[in-house]
Amino acid sequence: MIKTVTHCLFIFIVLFNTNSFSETPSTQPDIAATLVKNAMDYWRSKTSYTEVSMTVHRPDWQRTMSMRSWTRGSNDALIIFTSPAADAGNSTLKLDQSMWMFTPKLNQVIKLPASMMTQSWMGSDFSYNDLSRSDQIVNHYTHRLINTEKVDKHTVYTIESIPNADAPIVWGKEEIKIRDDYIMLEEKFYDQDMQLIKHMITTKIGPLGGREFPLVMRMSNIEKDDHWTEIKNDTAHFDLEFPKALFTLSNLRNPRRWTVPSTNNTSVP
Amino acid sequence: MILELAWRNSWRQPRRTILSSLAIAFTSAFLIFMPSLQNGSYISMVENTLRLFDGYAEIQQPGYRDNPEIRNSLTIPDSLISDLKNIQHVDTVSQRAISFALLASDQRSFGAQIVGVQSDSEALVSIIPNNIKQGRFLLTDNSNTDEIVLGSVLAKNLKASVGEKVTLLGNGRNGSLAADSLTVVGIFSTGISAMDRLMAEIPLQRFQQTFSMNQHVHSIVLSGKDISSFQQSMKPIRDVAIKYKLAALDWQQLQPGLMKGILLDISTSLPLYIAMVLVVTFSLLNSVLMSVLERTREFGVLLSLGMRPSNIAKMIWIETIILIIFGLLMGIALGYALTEYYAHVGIHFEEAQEIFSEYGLPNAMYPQLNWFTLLIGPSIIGLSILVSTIFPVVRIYKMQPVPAMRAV
Repeated sequence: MIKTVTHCLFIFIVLFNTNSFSETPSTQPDIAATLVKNAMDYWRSKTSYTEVSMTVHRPDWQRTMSMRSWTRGSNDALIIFTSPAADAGNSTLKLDQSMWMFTPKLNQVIKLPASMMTQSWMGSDFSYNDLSRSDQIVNHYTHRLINTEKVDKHTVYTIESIPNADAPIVWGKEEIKIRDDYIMLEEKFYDQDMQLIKHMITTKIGPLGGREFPLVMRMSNIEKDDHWTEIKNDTAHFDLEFPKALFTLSNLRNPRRWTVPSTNNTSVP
Repeated sequence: MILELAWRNSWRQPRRTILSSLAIAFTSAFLIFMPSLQNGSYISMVENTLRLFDGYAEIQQPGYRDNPEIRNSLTIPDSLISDLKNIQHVDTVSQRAISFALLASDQRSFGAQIVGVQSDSEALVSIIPNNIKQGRFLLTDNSNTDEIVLGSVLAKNLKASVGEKVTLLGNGRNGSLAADSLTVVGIFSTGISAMDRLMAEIPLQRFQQTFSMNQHVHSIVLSGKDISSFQQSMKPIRDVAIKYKLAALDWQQLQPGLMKGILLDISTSLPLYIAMVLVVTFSLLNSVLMSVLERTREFGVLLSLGMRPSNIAKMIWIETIILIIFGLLMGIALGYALTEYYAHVGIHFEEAQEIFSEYGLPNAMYPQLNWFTLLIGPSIIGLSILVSTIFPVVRIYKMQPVPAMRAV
């Protein structure tokens, strides 16, 4: 409820008081930060369950993987791969800043170093952090609204996010486009020399899990021609009650069967 | 007759002649010894660097060097290996597959460069098998052996010792997860920190299985006895590579920094050599000019007796040539003896051992003599002195018999 109020307040300020930005720049970061935070919260909700397919494209080959993923709050996530056969059963569990991986090939749980979260995820152009929408972007960056435009019936905000001096971030800056319903449309990653490195675009938006949601997102590697990764959200459910045992190491090693409770299918946030 | 005159003239002042030819001798001996020493240190530096890991040449998929991705791999046609082995000076042909992966022990994990190797030939192209400090090197290439050897720093970081298990996680060639559980059988310590900190070797076939490589490899490493003779075989090696649409890289492409370092070293020592040649040339010019000037009256008499200036000039030339020949013969003999002596004994730098090993040099340097280093310095000295003799000779053509006879 409070969220909605701040949202309305925010729209009010943006629409009717645009001029005031240049005069009172101190209010600007707060608005931009709120936008980013809300976008992250919208993406993850309190809890989420999604079925996702990921296509990694390279000039000479292409590969599609499918996975099921569960998130709880901003820090906990469980991902289990379901196809292709070679990768089925591989899974990762993230709890706060720790991450583990299980692979049936070895029947063994392996703790992954934190640095893995900023690196290429499963050979794709996404990092684990890009995918999990971790709180990093909210906590470690200073945000500034640099553009507001009207696209179709929506207002789109462009936000420039610069990592704080002491933040453990590899990027020089990020540029994020967020629609007024908190759907993230675009994310650009610049290196320390402010060269564009990666570019993520939401290419399809539609109803999913009872809300408007990005259906297809594509991350392109700007440095390498014809290198991109596309993520398709096939199924999504939000704000479900998950059993406590879901985000545990024993469940990672030995996943219990879990199906979407039928009553909650069309839950509206 | 002029030859005889010149010969006698040379020995009218035996001390000057001997001193002048000694100046030539020592300079040319120096110009033989120093470039030979440099040449020797370059060769041993190149060989030592290449023996660490690269081999004398490598065959790769075109573009792998610039973009060492796991997919930039090659399959080996049956005849490729035998074609390569048939080339003269190519003694060793060893296959490798390479990828970065995460190695994890119980509680720790580190990134490492995983190299799949042929256990029998790896010892001939890298120093790792001969620097096992604990345990042993890999015994087979077989995919059934779950063995791995780790660099000492990597092993310490992982807190893994011989006999323990480590887990490997990476990306396979087909994009799938590459995962394996391996037993540490050996720990190597090469003294090269990048290798000890980052590298791990496993059997080639195990690598191919774990990383879904089928029969692919990333590099075919070639080696031979010494780099100088091996270099002569680069053309046939390139021809074979082209035949199979592959790229052949010689040592300069494998270690581009090394060649730059050598060129830099040459360009910094070159001014010294030029200065030495100039000093000896000018001192010789001085003594030849002196010998002409002090005989002005004598030449005046010769001219008035009807001797042609060209014959006197010829005499001066021959005198100089006699000096040069004397000097150079002594110099070459001295330089040759000195260089050959140290080529066998070596010049030892016990104190500088640590600095040397960092640059891949052994703690003794052995000068390497060849026709080029033996003759280039002396011939430049001889030529410059000959050219400079033009100045005294010009004076002779300018001489008038009467004033010359009256000169002091």
